[in-house]
Amino acid sequence: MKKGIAFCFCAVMLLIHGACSEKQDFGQWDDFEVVPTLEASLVYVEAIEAMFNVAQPNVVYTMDINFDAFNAEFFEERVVSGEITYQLENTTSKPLALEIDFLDDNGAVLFSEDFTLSPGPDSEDRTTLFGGESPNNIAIITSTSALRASVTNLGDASSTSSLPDPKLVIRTSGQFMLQFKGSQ
Amino acid sequence: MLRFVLTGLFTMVFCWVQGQQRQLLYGFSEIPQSLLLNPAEQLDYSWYAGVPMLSSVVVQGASSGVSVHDIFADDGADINDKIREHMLQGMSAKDDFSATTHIEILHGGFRASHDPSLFFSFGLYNELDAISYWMKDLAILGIEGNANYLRKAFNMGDLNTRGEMLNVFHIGASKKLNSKWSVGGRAKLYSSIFNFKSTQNEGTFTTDPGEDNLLRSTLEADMELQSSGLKEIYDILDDDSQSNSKALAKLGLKRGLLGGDLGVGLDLGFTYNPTAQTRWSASLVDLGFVYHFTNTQNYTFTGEVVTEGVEVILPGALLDPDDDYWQDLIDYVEDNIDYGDNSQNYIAMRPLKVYTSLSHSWGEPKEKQDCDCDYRTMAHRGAPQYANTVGGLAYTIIRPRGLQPALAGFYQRRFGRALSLKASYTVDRYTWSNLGLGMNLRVGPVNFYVLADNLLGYQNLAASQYTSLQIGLNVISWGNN
Repeated sequence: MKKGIAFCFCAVMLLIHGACSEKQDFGQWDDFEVVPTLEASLVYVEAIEAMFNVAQPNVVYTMDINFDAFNAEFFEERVVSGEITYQLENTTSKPLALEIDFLDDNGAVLFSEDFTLSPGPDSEDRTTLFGGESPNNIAIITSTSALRASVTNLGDASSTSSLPDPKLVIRTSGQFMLQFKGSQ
Repeated sequence: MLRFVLTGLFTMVFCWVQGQQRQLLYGFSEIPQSLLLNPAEQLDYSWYAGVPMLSSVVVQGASSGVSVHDIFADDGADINDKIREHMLQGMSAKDDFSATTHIEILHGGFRASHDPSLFFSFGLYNELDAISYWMKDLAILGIEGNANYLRKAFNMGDLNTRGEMLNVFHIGASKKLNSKWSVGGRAKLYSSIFNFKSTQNEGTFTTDPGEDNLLRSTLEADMELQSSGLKEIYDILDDDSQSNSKALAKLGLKRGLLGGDLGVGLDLGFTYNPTAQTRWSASLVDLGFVYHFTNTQNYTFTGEVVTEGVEVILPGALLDPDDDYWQDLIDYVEDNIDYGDNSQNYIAMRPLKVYTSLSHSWGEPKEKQDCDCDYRTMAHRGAPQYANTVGGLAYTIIRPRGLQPALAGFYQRRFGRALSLKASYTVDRYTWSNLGLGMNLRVGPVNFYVLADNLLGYQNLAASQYTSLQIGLNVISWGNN
């Protein structure tokens, strides 16, 4: 009986002691990357045609829009690359020139986008890359604290579009990769 | 060996919690700790005393969707691909990680001298229990982002977790009413060391095509995390002026010995033997709650915002060129989303466990078998213990997302009083191949037991999605009190 007990005891101990595990590599954790791509709308600008008829042609309308999202600490420290998508729509009767400037804290222009729109209906879609393999350094984005939109009426100041609710619409969205863990 | 230990520890940590499923111990009346699963269990000795800190050590860990091996196997594959395959795509929000430890500090019991049909037991044990459901949508949002998930409503309710460490002071009694019935109860006093729970979250985050701008972001949230005891722990860990381990031990001792949050609970059970060879039993364990009123720290996140970014409408915007549209957007979000914290007291229910078992025994009763140990036959002993017992057990625990059931079949073989072996097969959400083996060994007055679950998993511990091991050492007497 004692031999039996000893045998069973040893069997259980061996079972537990004999437990094994295939080789694991916990060092892989260092390679784990948390780099989500987040996207959201940025700025929406709308200007009705009547605004362009108030002033003479070739007058530049300029507006600075404070935009601190890019240099917020949470974003600035983590963004590695991204893209900004523009969707412009002109339903006025005038050709329009549009310039969007990225300004730093001192008002200096870091980057510009130029668009020319024919009399409406006309539209343009554009996506500009920053960081990664793009020639546009991501620092442009992280240093930007305001956007300046400048619109020039290249046509007359009296015509009215036959399209309903004629206006210039600027739609923008951003898509950015933020690195929380790992390397890119 | 180091690799094995590391893998085991990592399995426990990675697998968090499975819930206290101790089917091998239930009904194993040779082991005194079976009283903790059914207070009506009929023990056949006069008294017992658990060896302090060694009378019951239980470690369990489980994951219903992924194993350590799935992620950390040394197979040359990119860990990012493995996490995407096995976790982001392979797991659902119903999958969970769970872990339990149960360490008896003191445990003893004795038969009433004036009424041998009455058996009292008492003790103190420490329990750590935690469960976290897989935060699938939040993990996708955090790891991959929302860019490729237009119109997907990320579910904030995927955050569903609770956990606690507490000491349990208990005293129980089992009473044999007649040859068929026995009943038992156990009163418990909980002394919580720490607790956290976030189980009633609702809300979504959605990115849709915008109406004016390109995209519309919508956040609806009604979320709360309640905690007690954790802030003191964080404060200690942040304080470099003292030894963390000493300060944590002091804190654990204070809060665990009735100096923290308190609660009460009850275990109830019965056994019914319609015939000498048939037994039906059932029990409720941890029918109780803890009232958290010390060192509570709760966090809330509620509200609803819909935004398409900064909006500038001309020529109206030219009237006030100094208007800060970005700040307007921030103000709108802050006005509509409330992120706060408070220290309100709260109640946390204990995870109620329900067991029921039906068994049939046969073979020569133990009393008639040869025995090489020295014991005294006592008339107040429970039902005769036959050499063989076969039966089934149903178990469930109340978890934040409902019942978590398990079914088990078992066979027990007794070799006199000295040795008893029990094998089980269990089906639950974690595994369909859970073979368990338990052994109770008595050498003189010393009782040693080991119960191991999911033995097939021991072939490759890292690949196992459920691991459970219970060991214990008691001193037992069949003599007078």
